[in-house]
Amino acid sequence: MSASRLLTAAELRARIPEAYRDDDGDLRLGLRQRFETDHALTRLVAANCAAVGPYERTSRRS
Amino acid sequence: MIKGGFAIRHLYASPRFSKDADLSMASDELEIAGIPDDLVMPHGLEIVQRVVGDMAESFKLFIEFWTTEHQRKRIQCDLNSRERPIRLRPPQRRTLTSLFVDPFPVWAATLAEVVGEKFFALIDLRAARIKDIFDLHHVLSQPALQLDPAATREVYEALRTRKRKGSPATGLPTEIEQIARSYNAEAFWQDAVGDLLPAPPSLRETTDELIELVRSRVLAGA
Repeated sequence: MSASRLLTAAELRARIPEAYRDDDGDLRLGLRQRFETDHALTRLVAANCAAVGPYERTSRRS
Repeated sequence: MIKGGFAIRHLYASPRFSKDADLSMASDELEIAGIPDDLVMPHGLEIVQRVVGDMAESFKLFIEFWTTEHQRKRIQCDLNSRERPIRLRPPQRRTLTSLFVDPFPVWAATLAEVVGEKFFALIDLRAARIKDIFDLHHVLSQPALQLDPAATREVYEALRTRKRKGSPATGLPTEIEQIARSYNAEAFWQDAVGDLLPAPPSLRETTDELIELVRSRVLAGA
């Protein structure tokens, strides 16, 4: 899977850790935006900051 | 290179979601004249604003995306291209883990730098950075993480000297205690960690434990 691929709502739901779920299995109130922000940030970093080669080259590339 | 709360979440498995991403885009030898124009925006993410900071040393990107509830959400990405006078060790190649993607390698600041910067940010901005008490407690309470106490203090002292603010590292326990007792510390704490776990940790207990951890893991040998 591409590290920066956008996940669907169903895929996101399947990845909710148990500790973050409410009684219905959904994300607990107040966590949804943080969860989706975490998803977006991770995709951004995956697309731009994957370490390839020596550090200096990565920095220039980034 | 990644650092800050984003690094603590994704390299050291913190349950706290970072609200933004701290990315350092330069090596010690590299100056960046502006926001790199070759940033890759994954599908669904869009840069809506670019802000150049003081002395053109730092930049902020504001990026928006649609949530699964069809709301527009804005996130901030800090890009720091300053020459890093406090970088004591070269960045390390680490593995980023996430709920959403397979693990992949990234360049990351050393743990001493991440922790030293967190301590200074907490001392510098007080209760507004109360989340750092959670992050620091999370890292320091993991004995398996090899934290170099002298290097951590060196980073903290370098920042403190540069900004002429805060007490020496030996005063960290007192400073942390004062911040945890300050006006609106509890409100900031609830905002930062209140939703994270079914039974969120209390600010009081976390602070007490952190102070002990500072004494044993950061001030050891000081």
